Amino acid sequence: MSIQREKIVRFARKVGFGFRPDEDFPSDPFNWIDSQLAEPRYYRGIASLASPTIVSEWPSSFNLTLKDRFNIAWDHRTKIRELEGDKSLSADMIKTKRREYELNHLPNWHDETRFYHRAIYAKDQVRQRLLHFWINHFFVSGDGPGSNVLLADHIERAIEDSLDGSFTQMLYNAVTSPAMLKYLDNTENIGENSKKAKIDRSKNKFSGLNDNLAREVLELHTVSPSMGYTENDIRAMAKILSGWGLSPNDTKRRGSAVENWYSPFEKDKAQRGFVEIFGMKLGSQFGTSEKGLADVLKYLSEHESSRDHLCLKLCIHFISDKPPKEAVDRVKSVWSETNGDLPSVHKQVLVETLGSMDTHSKFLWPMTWAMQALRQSGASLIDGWDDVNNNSHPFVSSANRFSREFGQGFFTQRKQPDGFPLVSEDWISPAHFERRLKFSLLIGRHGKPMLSALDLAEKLRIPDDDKSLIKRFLVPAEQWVALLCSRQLLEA
Amino acid sequence: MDRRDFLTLSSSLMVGACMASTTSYVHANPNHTQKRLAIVFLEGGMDGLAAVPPLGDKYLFDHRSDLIGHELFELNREFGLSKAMPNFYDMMRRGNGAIVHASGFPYTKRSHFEGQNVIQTGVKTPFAEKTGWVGRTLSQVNLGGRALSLSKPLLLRGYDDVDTIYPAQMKGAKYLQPELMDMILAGSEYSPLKESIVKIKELTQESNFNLSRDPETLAFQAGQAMADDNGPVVSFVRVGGFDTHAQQGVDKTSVQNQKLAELDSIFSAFESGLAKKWQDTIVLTITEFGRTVKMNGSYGTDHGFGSATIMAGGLLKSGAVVSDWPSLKKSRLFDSRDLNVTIDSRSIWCASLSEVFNINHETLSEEVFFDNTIPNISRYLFG
Repeated sequence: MSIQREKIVRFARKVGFGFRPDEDFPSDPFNWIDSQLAEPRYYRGIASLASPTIVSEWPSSFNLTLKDRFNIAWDHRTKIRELEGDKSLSADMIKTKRREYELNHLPNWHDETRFYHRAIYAKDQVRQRLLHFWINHFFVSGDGPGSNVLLADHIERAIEDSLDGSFTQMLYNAVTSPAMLKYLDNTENIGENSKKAKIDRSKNKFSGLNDNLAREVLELHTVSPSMGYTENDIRAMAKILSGWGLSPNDTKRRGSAVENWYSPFEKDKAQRGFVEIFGMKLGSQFGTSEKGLADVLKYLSEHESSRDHLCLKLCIHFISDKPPKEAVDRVKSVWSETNGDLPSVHKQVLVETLGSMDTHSKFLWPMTWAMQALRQSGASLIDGWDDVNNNSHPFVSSANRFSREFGQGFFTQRKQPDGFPLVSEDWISPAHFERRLKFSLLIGRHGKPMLSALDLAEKLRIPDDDKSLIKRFLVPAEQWVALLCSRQLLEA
Repeated sequence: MDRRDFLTLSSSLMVGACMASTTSYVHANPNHTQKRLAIVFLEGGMDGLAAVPPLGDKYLFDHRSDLIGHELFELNREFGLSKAMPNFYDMMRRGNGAIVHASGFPYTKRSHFEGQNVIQTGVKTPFAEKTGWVGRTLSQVNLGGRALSLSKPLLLRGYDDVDTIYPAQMKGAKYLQPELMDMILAGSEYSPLKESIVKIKELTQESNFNLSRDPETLAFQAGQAMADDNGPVVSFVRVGGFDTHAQQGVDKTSVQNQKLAELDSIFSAFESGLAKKWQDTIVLTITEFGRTVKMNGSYGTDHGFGSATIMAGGLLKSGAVVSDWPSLKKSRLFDSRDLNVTIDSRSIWCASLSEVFNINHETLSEEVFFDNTIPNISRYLFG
């Protein structure tokens, strides 16, 4: 399929991050998409802002297994206890030492830098945008002890590795992801008649169900309230989820936990007996099981309310705040025909996005816009892996600070599990625009872009009226403000 | 404690504040008011039974003995107050506080996202309304607003003249030159950007606007701005983290008490910033729902129904706990698990709007909340 260059540059921003100054524009958008979806995950970036033109793969030492992450979380907890127990330290000294330890030992900052480097430097931009949609859907906040260390595992193993399979499989992987189980308190969800609860009771310790994850699986991850489920269904779901999740804080079980982390189900904590939900009778007299959860998640993932909820969200995210009904319906048809096969559903969303471009535009998420600005200008503002936490550059800031500043830190900030809003009214405000204006100025002043704002405007086929506005600015750094904050680049 | 009225001594905060702005038409506007309303949104579902434990209810300890602190302020024979709120306790003693217990919005499905939507729109069906009850009130009186948050909160939507302030901290691009903004204004056709730049220009000229943005400082600044006779009439502060599903705790370092201490310091910051204007102010907390009466399996509480509305400010005269207590006896609980709601939150909001904007209860009920059955409880709060 050959389409106009104007259209392909906008399409690449609608479903990706745009092209770097040294990247060629493809003539066939779907060949371009297919080739990147087939690639294995890889991370590209820079080692240091001192040498911003040397782009290479991230060192493999930053690839941590879940076991590595669990051990880091454990050591972190041990260290904090040690500091808090040290009576010779004042509260301020404990705070300072804790911060020092965390900066040097926790992987979060490198995880986050690598995540955003990938958006700026790697070629698989459409795959990444799909990934961003899904991690927002199965949102886990990195803003808490434990879940912050585990978050990158959730993103890579639970979500990205599921992009090529069914929604059913992604749902199972996301719900049983250690970061999710920790974040939504399921590590503390213990069957009321379980062996563990009985032991706890004998020690006068209270334990029982916690319905936090159960509720969000129904409300946010799958069918949504439109299905009309009841509090009893939530309670039953909590029983089925009981026993799932090993807390990194569970000291006595540390040994087995590390080994069993990939299958975090503990029978001793699970509700015993049958559980009835949605007309199914799950479990056995010995208790619910791993299969019980898989069965109920399969039911939910295949429910038409889940299909309707997810297809609409995908279209709102990629097409516009108000996507055409016919487009949403066609995506739903593909979902139904393929039983939620994600590659097929994604392909249809991308086809509909391309097909509705003449009538529908989308105001971009702040971090999507910021990553596009860096990628297309070739500017460097985000620390290299050697720079992280060194404060070595006087102006440039960390990925963590930028994402916080824009109010859209996937690794920090949002505490609620509903993810960041998809529609523009939540992102259009003087405070939001102030950040975009300043970030554009920063690119021009300190980002060392690889081309001028006018060159990029030409490359992106910006209309002449907008180009003449850019020309009115005599200071090159300010031309970047005029370009990056034009309607053409704020929307796609 | 039985079901009866209580009028007694007894108080409550993320970051985001909104304020009706200093606009030039303020003097000419016949609706101009010298009174002020600050709203504090307690996100996550605040546990009113932990903040203001009904010590006179004999069933309380049966449900949650591990969640009731040993050290509490005593408001009266029936109610205690978390020790995390010494400033608010003092306000109650001075008659500058009020608590409306067993209050809540008539929404019973316990979803954060639906709940946060309905308490901002003020209508019972989730996602049915695109504007907020404060925004609609501002529209009635034609007074602009300002949010100290990145985005314009739903609560304030419904009136165009509402700005947002949340100071940006970008090293290397700290200031935007007015000339740069003027050129974009002159050349750009993109109206959302242009409208924002007009606001940004106004805000950067304000002398009391600095770059700090911790909740306490923002509340202090909001208070200072509202203290000006021509200043903002409404402000909004958001405090997240009340969703205490696990390890809720009772001691000073517990999650619950840290959040209440944050609220306490924001009340105090508002009072300092408002100075004399405190006497003409209501600080009103809102939350999407309360929490389960019974402790869950993780020493926390799950989503419930009724909670406590904690209020401060000089316009409150009694320092009272206002409640039509429903009892914690299991048969009296909502769905056998939650504190029942006996006072509709909208009646508290109506009373507060009526006091600040001098609009009668009937008009507010019908034109802001679209429901003429909301009870008028003004006399319990404002005498």
